[in-house]
Amino acid sequence: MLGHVKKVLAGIVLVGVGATHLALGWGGEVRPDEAEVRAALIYNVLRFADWPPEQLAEGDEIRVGFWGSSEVAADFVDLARQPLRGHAVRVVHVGEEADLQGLHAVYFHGGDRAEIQAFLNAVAGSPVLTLTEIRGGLRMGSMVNFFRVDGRYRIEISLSDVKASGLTLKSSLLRLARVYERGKLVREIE
Amino acid sequence: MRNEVRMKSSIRKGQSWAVVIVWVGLWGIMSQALWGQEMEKRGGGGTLADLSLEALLSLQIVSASQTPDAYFDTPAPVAVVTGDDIRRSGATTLADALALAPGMTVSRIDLSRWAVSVRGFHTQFAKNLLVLIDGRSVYTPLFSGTTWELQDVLLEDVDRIEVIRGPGGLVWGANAVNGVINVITKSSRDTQGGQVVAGGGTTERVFGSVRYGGELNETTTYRVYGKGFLRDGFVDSEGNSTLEEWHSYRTGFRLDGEPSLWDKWSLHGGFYYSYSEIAGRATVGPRLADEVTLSTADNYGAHVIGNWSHVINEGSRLELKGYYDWVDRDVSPTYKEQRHTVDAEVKHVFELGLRNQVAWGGGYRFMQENNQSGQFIGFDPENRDMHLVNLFVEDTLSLLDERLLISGGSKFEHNDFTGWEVQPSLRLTGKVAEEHRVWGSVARAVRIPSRLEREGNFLVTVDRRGEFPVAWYVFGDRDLDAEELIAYEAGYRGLVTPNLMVDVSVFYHDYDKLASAEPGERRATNPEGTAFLQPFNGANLLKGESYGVESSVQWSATDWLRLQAIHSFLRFNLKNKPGGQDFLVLSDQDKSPRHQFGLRTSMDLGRDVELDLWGRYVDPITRLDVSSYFTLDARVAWRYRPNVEFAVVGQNLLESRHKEYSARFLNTLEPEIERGVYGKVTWLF
Repeated sequence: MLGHVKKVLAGIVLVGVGATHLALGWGGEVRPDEAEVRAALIYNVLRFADWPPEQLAEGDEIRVGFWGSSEVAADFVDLARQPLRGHAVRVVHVGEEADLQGLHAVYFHGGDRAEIQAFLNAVAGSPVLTLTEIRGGLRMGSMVNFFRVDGRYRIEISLSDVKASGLTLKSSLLRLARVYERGKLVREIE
Repeated sequence: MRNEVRMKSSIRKGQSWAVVIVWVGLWGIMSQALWGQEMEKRGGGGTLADLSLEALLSLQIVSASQTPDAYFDTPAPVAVVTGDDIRRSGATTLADALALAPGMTVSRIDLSRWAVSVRGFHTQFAKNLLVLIDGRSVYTPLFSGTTWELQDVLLEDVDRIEVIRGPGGLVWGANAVNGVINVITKSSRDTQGGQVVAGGGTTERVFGSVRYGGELNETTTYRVYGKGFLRDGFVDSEGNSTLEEWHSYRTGFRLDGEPSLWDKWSLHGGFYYSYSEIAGRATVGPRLADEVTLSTADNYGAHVIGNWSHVINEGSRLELKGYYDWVDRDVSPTYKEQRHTVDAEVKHVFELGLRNQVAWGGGYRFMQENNQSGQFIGFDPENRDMHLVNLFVEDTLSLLDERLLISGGSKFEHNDFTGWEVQPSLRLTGKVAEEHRVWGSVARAVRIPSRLEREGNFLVTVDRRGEFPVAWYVFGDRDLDAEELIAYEAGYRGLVTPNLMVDVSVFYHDYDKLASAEPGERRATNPEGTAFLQPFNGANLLKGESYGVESSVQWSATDWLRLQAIHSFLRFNLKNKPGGQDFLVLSDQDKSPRHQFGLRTSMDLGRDVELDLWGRYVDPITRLDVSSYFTLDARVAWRYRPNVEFAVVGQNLLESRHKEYSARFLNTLEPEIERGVYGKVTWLF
């Protein structure tokens, strides 16, 4: 019996050693985590977007709003230190509808679906690029929705909503996305 | 004998502590030495924003577990063994690779046979574990179990092995009672170019494989491969060679196409030959004479699998799958088996509103058996056609802004033996925080009796303890019903830090109508009365319960050091129902180890050197005179050029030999698993 207990203890020690090292190396992360990848995706999509000149003039800063995910916003702040196509980037935390004022793009992630729907309704038709990561995001009125297949990110775009808002997205982005027009699939991912 | 076991056990104890000390030391030194380098590296380098959008989209998002994140929300205890895990473990067989997953019990019986199980019933033919390779069932309805010596693929082509513990009747149908194993190979799109592998060593005497993948046209890719090996037998408890040998050759192909934006298909197939020997004591003739012999198994098999999936519109898709499988086994002198299986399945998934995802479909399987009764196993009738029809429906409802997912449904399956079987399940997942999930489930699963249990008979053993030998024979029962399980499970899965994933599950299984072997009246088999037959008749007079905990902790400490610790605990009790007198099947309750621990470390030492250590502790199986044991496998690999790798793998390094299981079925010898070393070269072109 005693021998048996010792062996079990030996196993626990092996696991315990892992835990000790874990405590030593709590902050040792290097590989990209999900929030970093999300932030990089948003940054990259913005590279392919054009706003009407009255909305974004030379020298203006691009104002990007984040709702519901402070972690992605924090990672985006790091990325946005470098100018985006010649424009400085400002990150805005969106808490209520009034915060949407003056934004060029806004990203919604997690949280209450009805609340996101209300925000999307509030900016519908205006030149604000809406980005989401939510099931059925395009049907809720989002222009760009991220989803995952086998652990890899994919992009779906509602081109009709993008056009209606006066924005344009470059074809090199559309080529990498699943594109819908008025709810109908018009282009699969290449 | 008992003293011997005790002595060996105390030696092992000493070695166990030595291993702990060495391990702790190794980790301490390596971590501290390399930690400094790590801190330096973190200072520089580009950011993800520097990657192109294409590169970002091709980046596989993995959590600390390396598990594709689709499994994160699964309301079931799922473990994923990736192709990379297999490569770095040094495992050379699918059965050995399964020991990487928490909750799996893998015991090597001899050179070519394994007992592989989940949550009990740990026998060579683990009757409650369903095994599929690329969607093709390799669970044999003849014995209810998997012949692991026949199940092989090019391990380099394995994308992942999904191990789902607990009942999977809703998705996979009957016999997915205690668990399901899905071996999934890579698309040929991911295995382009050439690969040559060659190696050899002690037990792994010589092995090699060649694979080549290319493009047929813009939308279609292919690969072809061939592999072969020769393995050498182990030793008996006296250290004498069992003289066993096992060699096998296998070839196969795979085509993958994406003809339109909405369609994807694949067609793959393979052919194999395997010859293996099992050392045993044959008991021949009515006098039950005792002779040591080598029985042999000549096995041939082939299969073709086709898959097609079509995206109908957003959230809706159709999947079709079909396969043909042929197995021809000559297990001399035990029995001969020939089986043809044709299977077709269809599945339609669609979204109903914003909250519901519905999956429904059905399938049909036809099996034709042509068997020949042998010296120890008989069938009546020997030939048989069997049909299996199933329909299923499942709805997944998302509530509270996708923070709560509830899925429920049932499979309705008809088989020739027990008629319609219903296998419902209800599961829910709660998203308590962004990276933390709790889940729970209640499910019913059934196991259909095997052909042997319904229409066969077999020799269990020859009891020589008395004055005259007594042959113990089990006779099948044509009224044997399906075994039933109601399982209750719950678990937590979460990223405690971005690099540390914890997965814990608890379960309670309640079994009923388990197949039992009821002792009949003993009778003489010769006029002199010097040999006897003890019959056992099949019935459903056992019930049982099991409970336990399975856990895994995966920690990506740095980008060069990864650790995984796994543990499982199992209690398993069977008992006779009123009128039952079984003691044969009842003994299965004592054939599973209670505790199992595993610890793996994967280290990248610089850009070109990999060091992997894999230790396992397994509790004793006293019923089978198997002592507890520690094993340690180690792998060192050096990438000489980007396309050339040399690796040396040491297996079972802690002891010269140890016993993992004892399959006394048919009085086979009880070999001990020896320490082994092999070298391997991999060349990509």
